[in-house]
Amino acid sequence: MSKNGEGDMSNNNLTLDDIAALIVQIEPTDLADWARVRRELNVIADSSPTSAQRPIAEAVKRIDQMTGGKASDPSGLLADIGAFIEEAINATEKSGGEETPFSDLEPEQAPALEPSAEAGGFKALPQEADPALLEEFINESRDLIAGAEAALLELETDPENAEPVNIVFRAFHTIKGTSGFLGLDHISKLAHGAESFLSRIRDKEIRCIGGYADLAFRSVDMLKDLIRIAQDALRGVPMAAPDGLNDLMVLLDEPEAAGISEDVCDEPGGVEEMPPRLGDILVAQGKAGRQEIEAAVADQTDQPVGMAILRSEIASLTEVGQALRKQRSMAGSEPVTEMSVRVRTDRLDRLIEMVGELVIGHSMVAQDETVNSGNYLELQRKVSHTDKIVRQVQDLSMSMRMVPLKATIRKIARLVRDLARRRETTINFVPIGEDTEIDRNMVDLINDPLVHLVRNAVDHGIEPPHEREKNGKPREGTLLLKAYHSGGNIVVEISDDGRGLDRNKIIEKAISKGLIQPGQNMSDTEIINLIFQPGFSTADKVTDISGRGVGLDVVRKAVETLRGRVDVSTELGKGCTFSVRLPLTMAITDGMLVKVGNQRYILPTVNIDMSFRPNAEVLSTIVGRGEIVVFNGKVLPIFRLHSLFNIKDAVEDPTRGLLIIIGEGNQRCALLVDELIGQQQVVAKPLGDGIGKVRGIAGGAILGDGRVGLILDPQGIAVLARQISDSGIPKEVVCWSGT
Amino acid sequence: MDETSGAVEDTGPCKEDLYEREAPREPTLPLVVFRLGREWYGVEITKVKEVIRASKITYLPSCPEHIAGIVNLRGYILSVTDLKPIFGLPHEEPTEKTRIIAIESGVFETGFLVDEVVASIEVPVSKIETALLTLPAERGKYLEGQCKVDDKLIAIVNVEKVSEKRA
Repeated sequence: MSKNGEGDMSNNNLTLDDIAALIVQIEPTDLADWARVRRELNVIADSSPTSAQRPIAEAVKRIDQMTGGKASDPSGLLADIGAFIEEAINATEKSGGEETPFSDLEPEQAPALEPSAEAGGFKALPQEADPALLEEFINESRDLIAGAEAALLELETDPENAEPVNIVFRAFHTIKGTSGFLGLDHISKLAHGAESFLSRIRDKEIRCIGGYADLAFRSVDMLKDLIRIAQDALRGVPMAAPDGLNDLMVLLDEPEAAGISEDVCDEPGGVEEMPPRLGDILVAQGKAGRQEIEAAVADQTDQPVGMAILRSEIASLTEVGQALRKQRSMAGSEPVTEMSVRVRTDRLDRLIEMVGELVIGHSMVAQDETVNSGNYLELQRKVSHTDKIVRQVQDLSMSMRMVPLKATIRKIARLVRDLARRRETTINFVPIGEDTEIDRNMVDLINDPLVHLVRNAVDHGIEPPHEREKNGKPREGTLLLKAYHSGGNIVVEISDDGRGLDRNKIIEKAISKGLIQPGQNMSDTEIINLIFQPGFSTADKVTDISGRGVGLDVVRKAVETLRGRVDVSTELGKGCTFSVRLPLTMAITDGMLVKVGNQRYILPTVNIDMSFRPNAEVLSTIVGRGEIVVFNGKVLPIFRLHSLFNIKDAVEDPTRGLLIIIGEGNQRCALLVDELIGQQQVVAKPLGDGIGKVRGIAGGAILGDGRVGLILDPQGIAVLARQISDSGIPKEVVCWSGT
Repeated sequence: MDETSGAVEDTGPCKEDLYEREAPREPTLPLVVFRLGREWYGVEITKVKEVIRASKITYLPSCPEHIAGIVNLRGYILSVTDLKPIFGLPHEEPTEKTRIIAIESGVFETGFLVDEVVASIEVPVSKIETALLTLPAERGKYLEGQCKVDDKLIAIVNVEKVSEKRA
């Protein structure tokens, strides 16, 4: 439901920089987002220095043009908007915020910034509207519009008939009255415009044929759109003005000014799709023969087909009229095919959750002693039959919430294009696996990390063209985005053929930032993983595209909250590949059930590196408090889950328990548990009301025996352990002391 | 249709009888009475969703003392509040009679861990004392009032205040 970046946008404290960042992500057709940007700009303008207000006002104007549907060149407009916002940023920075905001001095002088009746300030619903009344109005209007449509069709075949005109006129009149009463200004204005236009037809000033007829149809269509928008707004869907509302208002006011007349050829808007031909319809209905019609039309080329058919008396007026109407309805309305059912997401989520419970419940039955005793073969057979069905139900329910990554990837493609243009390079964006599916709840969440990685690749990875030529690479950089499924995970790889990560530069930077000590012996992987540290940025200069100090650590954190991981591989001068590995769904967690004392916990499998029972010689203690284990030549701190969580009767001797290595890079540690019970899929649920966040616990899940098991959060455990041990463990040993 | 309208006319003279009121009764407060240690407490029945057996409470680490843990309530996770630390009572191991009273107050849901659910009674509102001189202020904060029923003193728990403490 929530669009990318909506969280950011709902925040009223956006800066111009934020807006600039947002604009590159929005499609020109994304009216709701543009309306929000426009609103935010108006807010910003109020508190901006005078010099910045003009560019902001200009940008707002461009947005209006674009959303108003007047734009012939949306990408040009987009570039203009970007330029104006940049100008505003510069102006704001120059003035240093010392200048008094313009609007405080002369509030009346900034009319352009007021929400106008233009598209951006579009309001489909009044604040105080009574939903029941609105609902009634919407239904009533639908009927009226349907009536008006039928009358218009009739009118077109018989322009002299006064009765249809009156029907249409009355429909618009009624809608105008009610919408005015309900405060639906746009509907009432449009209805008013259409009413005045129709009054000219009624007064026989003009006839409802040709261009006028089209205009009448367009008014009805627009009215339909507006009512649909009002209905959506009633359901809480963000509203946006339909394309061309303002244009239509102008046309209705003075159709002749736009060259509309009774001539058919002068059709505004043009015909996008060819409707079926009139003759074909008549033939199909068996009212006339094809040859007859063709002969008639060939004889009277100066006449419209309908007239020609009438004159040749091949079909009656009613038949031709019916065919005309059918033609109109076939061309006008979208095909009504009910191929899908819209289901509320919360219901779907609930269903999937329940299916998860069903799977667990069924596994309880299947594992029951009675079933497995071997004495009841028939029962066993039945249970295994249900087992198959349950699994199918699970697969099916999971697939219901899966959506392809296509939309996300297209947004990224757009972003790459814009970023490349801004850096005056060309980048060849190659998406692979657009149809890879992912849980719809995760689509929005994975967008931001991916955008971040792409920005990084474009800004820091791919060199400027001249540098590339010097290094013997093609001028055009290549950015490969590859999405695929791999073992219950979705993997998205972002590869560039840029300069790659420079090992020495990273070490230099890490030392200067105090993240590592000089002379520290580290493997290549460890060094590369330093780029995920907070505050780490290898770019020498900060650009407007990326590199504001918040870096890859944000990406890693975001991916880890989704129970995924980011890996990076690079070759200096050849390029760099980031691969984001995420579970297909957040609904089911693959976990390892571990026992600590009388408690059981679920450790997400994705977090587990390996587990082993240590020998006494790899264990040692430092200053009596910090315990360490030497594993594969690395020194890792040991955290005792039983002491962190204060659990009694747990195994306290590591050589009798089990060490599980979790976390990565500087957060790697060994967790002491009693034993592993086994692997289990669980449905993650929030802890009960009022408990809030428990350090070290990511959530709860119902286990096979009906008890609630707690899902461990490795990062939280590390933080918890750090708090408890505090300064107890010497810094050289606690690897994450640098953060 | 004729019959119906006739029937309506017939009831006409009885109108006064229909509107005759019952003798005014004193308003009462329905309570679920439960035992904590040796003390009796009550909670408004309108806030009680159900009573379940206290089994398999999952202990939550690093949580305040009055949070006993969480339980599975038909697929939902319900938090369990231990009222004893709140009212300064000593901890006791659960017994056969230990129950969880699932409380639903507004958007907030939790379970009260109690030693025994005694009864469901109706207490005349006039019998409820809101002054709680016998209790220290710290504990009194979590009570709405108290009343005496059959020589037993029943303290009425203020669900909202308890839920605030949790948050």
